[in-house]
Amino acid sequence: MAIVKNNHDGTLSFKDDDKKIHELKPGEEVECNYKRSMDPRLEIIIKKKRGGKDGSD
Amino acid sequence: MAVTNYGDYDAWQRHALITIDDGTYHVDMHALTETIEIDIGERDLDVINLLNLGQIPKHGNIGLTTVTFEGYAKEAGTSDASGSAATGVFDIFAYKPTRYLTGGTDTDLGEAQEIPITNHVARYRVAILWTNDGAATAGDSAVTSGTTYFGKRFVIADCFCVGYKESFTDGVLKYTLTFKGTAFDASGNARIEMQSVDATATALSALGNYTPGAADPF
Repeated sequence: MAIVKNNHDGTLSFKDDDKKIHELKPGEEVECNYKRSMDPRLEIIIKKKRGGKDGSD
Repeated sequence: MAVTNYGDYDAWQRHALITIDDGTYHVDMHALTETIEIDIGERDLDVINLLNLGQIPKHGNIGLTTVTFEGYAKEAGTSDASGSAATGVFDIFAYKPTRYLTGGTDTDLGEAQEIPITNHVARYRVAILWTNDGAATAGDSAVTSGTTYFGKRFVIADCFCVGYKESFTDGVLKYTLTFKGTAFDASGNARIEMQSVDATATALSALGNYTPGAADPF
């Protein structure tokens, strides 16, 4: 799971790994499966796994 | 079309963005490249001539698509990690981007570079983007929505790097890198896509993460 944030001053979109298209306004964040992009305007923040014994969320 | 420093008024001119991705590593090649040629496979078509002088078109299958880049590189491959600009392209032909083999072990490519040819055949996604959105920096970047920005992107997925040539005949060392791929996968899913956006309220999406062999690799 990751959070994608639009750091750009215009609306950007990207295709998530489940092929859903997310359209993000400036500064907007969305939670998704998208893990990697070379577009520096779309900041990918990988969510760290939390405390469960099996490492799950 | 918007007025930009690229001069893209009525046609795409002078600049483009190129990204090669193998699903793990990706490199941007536009800072090395001078020319791009996209030769989409032809649909085979034949004719059956009838005795009444009529004709029946006989349809065949679509051929291989070839993408060729000519460019100038000072290094053998790309020594930096994922997401970097390519500094050489032989690694793409010999194995895969920014990787080489040491004693059969898959290793990050550092300096000095020693890239032996291998029999590994990587599946690549090649994305080429023309846009007047100056903030787009890679072939798989998004194009910003609004009334200013246009973009056109060609993508071929699950293609193979089949050719690497170097020539030093004009006093400058030039490489020619060739990718070839089929139009469809074994299930009939498209491997080639042409995308564009026409300065509307919708952005052209950044491509999804590439998984070789995925039903939708775009």
